[in-house]
Formats: sequence, C-alpha cells, structure tokens
Amino acid sequence: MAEVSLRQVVKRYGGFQAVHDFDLDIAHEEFVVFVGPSGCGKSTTLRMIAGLEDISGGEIQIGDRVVNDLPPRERNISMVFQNYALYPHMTVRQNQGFGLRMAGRPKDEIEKKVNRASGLLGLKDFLSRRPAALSGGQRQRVAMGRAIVRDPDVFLFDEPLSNLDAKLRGQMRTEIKKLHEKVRTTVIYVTHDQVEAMTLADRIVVMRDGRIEQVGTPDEVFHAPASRFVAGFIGSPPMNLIDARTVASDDGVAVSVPGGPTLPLDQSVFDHVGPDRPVTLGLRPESIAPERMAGPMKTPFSFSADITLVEPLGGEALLFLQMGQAEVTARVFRPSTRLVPEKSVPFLTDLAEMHLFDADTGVRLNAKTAHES
Amino acid sequence: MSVAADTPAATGRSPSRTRRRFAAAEAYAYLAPGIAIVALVMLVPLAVGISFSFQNYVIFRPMSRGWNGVENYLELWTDRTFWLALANTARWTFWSVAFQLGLGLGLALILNRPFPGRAVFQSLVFLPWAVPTFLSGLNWQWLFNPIVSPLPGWLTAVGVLEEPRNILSDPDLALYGPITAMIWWGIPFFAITLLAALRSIPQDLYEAASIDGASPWQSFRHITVPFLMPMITITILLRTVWVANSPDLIFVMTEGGPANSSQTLPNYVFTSAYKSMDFGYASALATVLMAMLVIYSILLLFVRGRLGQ
Amino acid sequence: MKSITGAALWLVRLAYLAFALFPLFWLIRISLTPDDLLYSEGTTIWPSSLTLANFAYVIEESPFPVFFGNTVIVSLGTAAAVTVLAAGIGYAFSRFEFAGKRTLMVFLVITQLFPLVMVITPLYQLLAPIGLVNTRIGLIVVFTAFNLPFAAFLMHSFYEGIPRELEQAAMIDGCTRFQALIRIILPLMLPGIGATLGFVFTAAWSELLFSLMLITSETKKTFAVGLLSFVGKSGVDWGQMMAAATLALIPPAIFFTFIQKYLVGGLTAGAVKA
Repeated sequence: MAEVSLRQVVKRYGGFQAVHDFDLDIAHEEFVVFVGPSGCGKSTTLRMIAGLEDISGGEIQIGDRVVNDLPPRERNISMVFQNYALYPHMTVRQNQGFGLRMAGRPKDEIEKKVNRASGLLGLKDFLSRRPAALSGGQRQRVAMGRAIVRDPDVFLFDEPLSNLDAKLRGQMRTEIKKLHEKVRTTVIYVTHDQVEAMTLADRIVVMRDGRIEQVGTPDEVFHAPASRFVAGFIGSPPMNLIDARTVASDDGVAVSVPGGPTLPLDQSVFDHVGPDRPVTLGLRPESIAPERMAGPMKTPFSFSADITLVEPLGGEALLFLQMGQAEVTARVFRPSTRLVPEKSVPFLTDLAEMHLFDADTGVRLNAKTAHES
Repeated sequence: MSVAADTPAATGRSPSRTRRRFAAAEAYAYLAPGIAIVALVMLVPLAVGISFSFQNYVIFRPMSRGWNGVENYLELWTDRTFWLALANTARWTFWSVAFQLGLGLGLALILNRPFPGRAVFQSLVFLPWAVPTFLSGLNWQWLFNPIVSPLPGWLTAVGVLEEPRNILSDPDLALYGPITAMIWWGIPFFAITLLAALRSIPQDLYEAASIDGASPWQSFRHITVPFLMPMITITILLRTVWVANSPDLIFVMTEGGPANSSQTLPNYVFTSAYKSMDFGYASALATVLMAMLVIYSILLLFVRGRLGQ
Repeated sequence: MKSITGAALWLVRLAYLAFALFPLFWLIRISLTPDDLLYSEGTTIWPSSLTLANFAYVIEESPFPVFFGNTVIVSLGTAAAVTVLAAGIGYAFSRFEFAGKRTLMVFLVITQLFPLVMVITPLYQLLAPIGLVNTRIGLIVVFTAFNLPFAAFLMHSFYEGIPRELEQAAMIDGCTRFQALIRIILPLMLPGIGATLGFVFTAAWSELLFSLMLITSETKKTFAVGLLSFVGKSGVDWGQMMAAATLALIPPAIFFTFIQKYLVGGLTAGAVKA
C-alpha cells in the first residue's frame, strides 16, 4: 500500500524558489501526471519525491513514512529517466536485476522476476545484449523493466517518452497504460506533453512557475479548466482565448467580442463579474462549427464570421476564422463538403461549453460547463 | 509491501539541513586525502622556501645563518647573471612555446581529418611526449655533435650553419639547442589538447559555412580559430609556466653554458642551490621567478577575459 | 589541383613523422653501433656493422636493471596513488556543491605555478626527519603530490562525460553514493582511469630533479639518475648509455601509445563543458 502525500513542499535554490507550497495527496494505485511547460517545477517535485533533491521545506510521505530524510535507496521507489540511464556496462538482464542484487535477494528469485518483467515487456530476446546494441524503444522498455522488477511502492517517470520519435511515442504510451493495468502500483509521471497527460492520467496536476494551477481528472481539466493558463495548455489545438467585455443591454447581460458577436451570459456570472469588465472568453475549437455541419449542441448560438484559411487533415479540418478582431480556430470533424475561405459564413457555438476567465488574474469566472454537471 | 514502516515519522527538527551538511562532509571526504598531500608536499615547502629568501643561508657557513631582510633581493638586483638568465628565460620560453603552438596546431589540424594510416601516424608522432625530458636532452645533445650525428652537416647543407659544428658550444646559439629539444618534446601536448578542442567543434558549422560560400581559409579563420581560442589560451598558459619553470633540458644539455650564455632562471636557481650551496640566494631567485609567472598568468587570463567579451 | 594538394599534405605529414622519429631512430642506431665505428662512421645513416653487445652489457653487467626496477616501482606506485586520489578529487568537484569548491580548484591551478627548484630543499628538510629521504616511498609521495593537480582536472573532465542520471538510478536501485561510484561510475571511467594512469606513469618515469636530490644510495636510484651519473663519469661509453636509454624508452612508449586516444577523448569531454 502506498499513498503519497506532499504537504507544503518547497524547493529553493539560493534566492530562487522553484516550487511553492506544493500540496497533493495521491491514492494507492493512482496514476498521477504532472504536466506543465519546462521550468514549471514538475521534474523538481518528482526528484524531491525520489530523494534526488533535498526539500527546502514541508513534508513528503510515502505509505506511512515521512521520507524527507531518507536517501533514495530507502524510499522503495523506482524511476524511469528521460535518457533511460541504463548502465552501459551491464546486459539487459543485469540492468534489470541490479536493484534486487543490491537488496541481496537470492539468485533464483532475481532470475524469476527479471524473466517475468522481460516477458511482460517483450525483452526476452535481448537479455544478454548491452544497452548500446538496443534501439531507442527497446532501451525504453529495459528502463521500465528495471523499474517494475523491484516491485516498488511508487513508480516515478521523468519525461520517459520525450526521446522517442512520434510514432514510437504513441506506441509506448499505450504500453505504459497497459502495463499499469497489469502491474497496479502508484505512478507519478512527469511530462510536458498534454496528450500524454490526457491519455494516461487518472488525475492531472497542471503546474506553472512552481505552483499547482489545477488538479483534476482529464475530463475536469479539459472541460473545466481552473484558469486561462490551464485552458490554453490542455487541448490541441488549444482553446481560443478571446479578449472581450461584459455588457448589459436591453436584451439582457452578455459578453461582447470587439467588432464581433455578443454572446449571452448567465445572470449569476454577470452579477459576480460586474458590467463593462474586461474578460477572456474561452471557446474550444471543437465547440465551433459552420452551421451546415454542426452536430447537436446544448445551447447553440449563431454568429457570422469570415473563413480566412482552411487546413484539411483528412478526417477533420481546421478552420481559421476572423471573429471581429479576434482570430479563432474551429475544428470540424468529417467535413461533409469542401471547405474554402469565404466571407460571412454562419457559425454555431455551444454556450454551454463557453469558458470565462478574469482578464487580469486568469481565474475562471463561470461555473463548470454543462459537460460536468 | 516489502519495506515495513520501521522508520517513525519525523526524525528531527531541520532534517534536510542535516542531510545537506552530511553531503558536504561526504565531498570533503573524497577530497581530503589528495588535498592534504598536495598541501603538505607543495604548499608547506613553498612557504619555507620563500622564508629562505629572506635569510642568509649558505650550507658551507652554518654559523652565519640568520634573517637578512631583503639583502638577497638587493644582491640579485646587481647580479649580471640574474639579468642574463632572466632575458634567456624569456627567450627560451617564448621560442619554445611559440613553435610548440604553431607546429602543434598544424599537427592537430592534420590529425583532425581522416587519411589512410592515421591511427598509426598519430601514435608515432605523439611518441616524443613519452620520452623522458632528460633523455630527450641527452639525445639532442648527441644529435648536435657533428662527429656523431649527420644533423650539423644537414644544417650546413641547407645554409643554417656555415660549417658543421656544435651549436651547443657556441655562446650565440647554445640556447637554441635546448629550445629545439623542448619543441620536439612538447609538440604532442599542444596537438593532443588542440585535437580534443577541434573534435568538439560542431561539424554542421562547417557545412553551413561552405553552403554560405566560405572558403576553407574563411572557415578556419571564423569557425576554427574562435572555437579553439579558449583551449589555446589555457594551453599556452600551462605550457609557458611549465617551460619557464623547467630546468631539465638546459641542465642536461648545456648546464647553462658556455659562460652562462644559455643560463635560465630555474637552472640558475638549481646551480646556486646545489653548486654554490647558497639556498638563501637561490630561494630569492625562485621567488622572483614565481612572482613573474603569477603576474604573467593574471595578465594572460585578463587579456583572455577582455577578448572573450 | 586536388592531387597536388594531396601530395603536399603527404609531404607535410612525412615531415612531421621524420622530425618526430629521427632522434629516436638515432638513439637506437647509436645503441646498435659497435664501439670502434661510433666516431669513424658517426655521420653515416647506417653503420657498416651492428652489435647487440651494448644491450648485453647493460642487461647483464651494469646496475641498470636495478635502476630499471626502482623506476618501475616508483612510477607504478605513483600512478596508482595519483589515480586513486584524483578519482576522489575529480568526483567531488564534478558531483558536489560545497563551500570552498572554487577556492580549492584555484589552489590546484596555482600549484602549477610553483617552481620545483625552490621546493626541493625545504622538502628535503621536511622529509628527512620522518625517514622518507633516500627511499622509494618518499619519491612516490613527492611525485604523487606534484602530479595530482593535473590528474585531478583530467579525471574531473572524464566524470563530466558521465550522465548524473546513472548514479541517481543506482541510488534509487538501492546503492549508497559510494556503492554507486564503485559499481556504476568507476567501471565507466575505465578510459579516464587508463589515461590518468598512463599520463602519470609517463611523467613519473621521466622525473629527474627530485630523484637526483632525494636519492643517494646506488641501490635506490632511478633510471634518470643512473643515466645521468653515467654521463658524469669519465670515459663514458656512449653506446652502452644509448642502449640503456633505448630500454628506458620502452615502458613509457608502450603506455603512451595505449592511452593517447583516451587522452584526446577525455579532454574532448571536458572541452565541451569548458
């Protein structure tokens, strides 16, 4: 059993604070992904959990032990590094068995466990090779084998896929997911790739500048981003973030895009924000479509915009529109007719999928979107 | 799982500070034996040596030993041999290092591009570095002797000498004997360090330059040289100091002669200490030599810093 | 045009080769020349007859085998001691941040400025009371100190070429830092260890001044001192001396041939950082 909890964890390098009061509880067997741009403190946090970095303040607990002072070898964790960190002078078998050997386990037990892990990862044929004689994907597998052989309380992954090419990365992502189904263990996984985060995580921790921006399931983070930063970071292509203002008129309260449409707003949200306030309007590309190809929408709202550019991608297409002064992307699935740049095209968007953020602080202003309720 | 909860929570007040201090102690443990031996065998004798320079300390006259202030330094000021040795040291160091640098750079450039037999060629041209310095001194002493070596004859044939004779016994030329031996012996060191630096230059820079239409000379001038500059300065610094401090070759080949014409400071220190047995004076000479090398190093690093900006 | 440049390049290469090898060739040539031809055929490239008598004399009758043995002991001892100590210093410099790090590094650089000639006498006076004068151990101690600073920087640059993640992985796999060093890092440092061993061995083998001053008894002399005392004697037998010199060249030449490519590699690893 291994829950991991971090309380008020702080990391300082001299005068620079890399991680601020990090608080998180990770459940047993949970798969948690730390995601964020480089320099956001995600790797530092992981390395503090591993014991490779000292913590400057706070407390880290693995299972029921406070591990602040324990060296890495006493934390019963294993880690997969970005560059794999395979021991170049050892064979695949020796690499995987090294941890057990250091723990003084009997030979036949080591043999059995290495064989099981190698079977799981398809490494059986390479056991007596050295890392230099392996491909990138195989090295990646050995690194994972080395991690699972030891049967640790917690798995730590530090950007494990970023050295692989795109195709292999997709493959390994699936394998890691399958592996976690088979070998149920607590996993903490660091990546800068939001696709990895979305596909792998039970819960995602979005970080920025050493602070947690949001903790939530992939669904929550996607459909109810807690801040403008999360909204822009999660999702591809990213959410359209449009400068707008709140307005009150005879027709009721709304949010107005300069030179573009005015979208009706919930009275309660408006009361909270106040009239004539700058806000950021967030619309996912998926929730905008030309009227003639739009799917079912909960609260459709129609407006007209110019299509300036079309990027066909086979099964889908990206449309770039001019919505007033704002440039907006729409993502259309299975376009039924050929799309071309065109003036004044009628579009639909779903007001139930609309996000509103404070223009200054970036904090979310409206309640969770329809998807969540 | 396997490890039981045998460690109770929180073990102390500011725990990770203790750990950091422990890590620092570990670093010192790795350093201590080596640093201790260097300090004991180099630093302590150096301090003692400098203190000698302010003493009247001649082995033959133990009774008259005692502090004498800067007397040794005043004596040095009026010592013609000192000034001669100083000029010779500059000459010896400059020509040795200049030729080692030039020829070493050429060798590194040759070794940096592939040709058949390069590995064998490299180990053969690097061989002089493996030759003990005193041995290369003996060897070159022999080579400059017109009776037992064809070299003086060849030098006459190409017009360097007007007749085959031993340059080591010519007061005007004697210093160039040890200089030649020093160049021969030291080229590989420059070649090795510069070759290492050449290998670390990203190859695509040259490709980009040739696509941009740069000539080989322009590539050399604008890519190779700037990349090598840090390594060149540091190697020049190390070698200058080493060559200036090194008495072996001169001691073996000419003993500073004839008539002090090839005397350099380190050799003069050595002969003062072990022929005249005047340790006080020898130490004053050595202290002056070291002071000048320190000033030289600071100047060189300063100039390098300026150029780097 | 191409072939002219090619030919010119080969000419330059051959010139380097000739300059590097001719003195060595001459050394061996003298050692193989019979005494009576030494002067009469002094300037001909190849003497009309050859002899191994000089080598036979050096090996069987002269004290040189003893000198040779002493030099081997001192050089190997120095190389081993320096490499172990430099492994420690280089590791600390490469992997730890601690107070005084810069100061210590600068100190090691500054030791390179010390004129050896000044240190010899005080060193003699320090070593004499503790019985290290006129001993091989004493020589090893002194050589170790003088070769350590450069060796430490050499090792440091090799450590820099080894990713830190390797020892971190080992520490997660259950190693203490020291175990990670012994089991993971040092095996990967073999080229660096080899280069350092060879470099120091060659340097110790060549050392003259300290041996000259610190060793007095005939049975403890090193090669350099023995060879030089040969010169001092009247009626030097040059052929025998050159034969001894040729033999003296063999160990460092072998060592150096073996390590030179690692030396380039090690300095490259460091150069990238510098």
